[in-house]
Amino acid sequence: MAQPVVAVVNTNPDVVEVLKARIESAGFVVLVIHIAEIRAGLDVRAIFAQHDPKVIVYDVVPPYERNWRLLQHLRETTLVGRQFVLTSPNERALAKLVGRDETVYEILNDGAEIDAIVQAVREAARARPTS
Amino acid sequence: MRAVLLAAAIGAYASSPAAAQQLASEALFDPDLTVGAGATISATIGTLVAHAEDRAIPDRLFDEPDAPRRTANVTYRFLKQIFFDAPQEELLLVFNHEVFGHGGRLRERFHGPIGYHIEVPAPYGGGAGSTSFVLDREPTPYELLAISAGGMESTSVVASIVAERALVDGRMHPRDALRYLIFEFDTQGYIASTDAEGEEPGHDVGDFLRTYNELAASAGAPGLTPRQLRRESLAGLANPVGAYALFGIARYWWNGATDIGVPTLSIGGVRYLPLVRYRLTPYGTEWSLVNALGGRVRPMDIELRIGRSPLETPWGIGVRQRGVARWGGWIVDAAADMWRQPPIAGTDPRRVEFDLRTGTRVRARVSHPVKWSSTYGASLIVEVGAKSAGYVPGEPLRGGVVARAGIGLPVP
Repeated sequence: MAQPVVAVVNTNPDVVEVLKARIESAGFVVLVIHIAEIRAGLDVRAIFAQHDPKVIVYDVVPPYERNWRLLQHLRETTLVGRQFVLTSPNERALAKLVGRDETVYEILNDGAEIDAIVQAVREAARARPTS
Repeated sequence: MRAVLLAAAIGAYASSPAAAQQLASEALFDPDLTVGAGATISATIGTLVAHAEDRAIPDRLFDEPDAPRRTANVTYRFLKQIFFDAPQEELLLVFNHEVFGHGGRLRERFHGPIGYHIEVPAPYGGGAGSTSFVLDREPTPYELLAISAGGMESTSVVASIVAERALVDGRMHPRDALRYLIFEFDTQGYIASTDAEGEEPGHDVGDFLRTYNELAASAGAPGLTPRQLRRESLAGLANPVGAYALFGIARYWWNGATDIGVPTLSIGGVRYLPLVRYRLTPYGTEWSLVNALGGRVRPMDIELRIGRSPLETPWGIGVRQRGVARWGGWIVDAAADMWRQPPIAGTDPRRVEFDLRTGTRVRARVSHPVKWSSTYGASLIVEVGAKSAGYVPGEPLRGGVVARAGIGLPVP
């Protein structure tokens, strides 16, 4: 049976490296996408159709509203129904936008909070897709 | 006796620091064609085009022995400036704003493709301009602010070049005055055109406010409103050079006088003229008091800057002086700046900090005259500086060495 895929959408190579290593060691295959690539016109729909990631670990960075808008747009268009784990360098700042329905995992550049994120990825991978 | 007095007067004038410093129109280049380098190119293009026009197009159509002919001349000069000169200056402004302003900050920080759209100026076209770009990495909020403000920054730097020349010469031409007004008050005009809702994406001031307010909200700090910007930017009207330019243009329309005086205060033989600038910067907003000095001292300006960032009050001081040293035909200009600003030059959007850091900049510019015929000459210019990461108008945000080279053209 093929290993499930997790997409890590982030801006920071150090954070990506830590996340990739830890999520892979939890039994997943990691697909890395940089947010700048999405803004530059990367065909997200085609890539996700090809790799079919079970979970998307998406990092929302400052300025939060601008990047939150991009994520909302993706969720409403090309990534409808996908499971997300949201990360951010400042959980409190993003929480104002996200609301109470969704958990935001604060992850600093040293990757200190990785365990909670990996656990969230495991749980999200078990969840059924929403529509 | 009269000859002796005349010789003494000429000698005193020639030996005075101000007279010794004849400012050339400088065009400088650096690898990224930064905001500062681009502004020198735009200022020189403007000067050369105006100079060529002055030689080819008269300031009056008729001798003026009677009222009808005088009226015809006044009408001619008014229409010439509105329908011929102003569109050229507007085109130069939009070109400079897009290519050297937004484009300069984009080239300096990113490697993605950049595109420009520049329309024919009003009243012959829409007069708009836009810069499109794709970034090779996600920008920080400070970088987004720098890109949004870059266009207005570049026009302000061009205006400061025109003003410096006018202050050193003690006069300006009506065409320079027109360019000065259009470039100096670009920021105020842009801010004034921003409605209460902050405009659609693509409007520089609207984009700036959105990014600043998002940044401020993430820090738990108060944001800015268009009304607040409009009110604060009025400080930039405390500008005597702008008043002289306005008066000089009106006088030119009326009587065709092409020499606009730039009077200054005189304190013990030192000419002094202060002016205020209001800027949008990569960390927020900024008021700047430029103190221009000349006469008994070599042309110099001392600039005091105080700003607003989400959580702090950045400040800075800068000193620039022409002709601080000379040897063997070489002339050395120098500049030094010091500031306290948030760390705006980082490239990691995950790491946005608000506390102030100290930064410095030193710069030396050497120029040497060269003659390629008995009539025509120029000067070669090399500029080398070193700076910490931080914002100085026209300069790269990063720290390191900044080197530029170019030519100075003696335009009367």
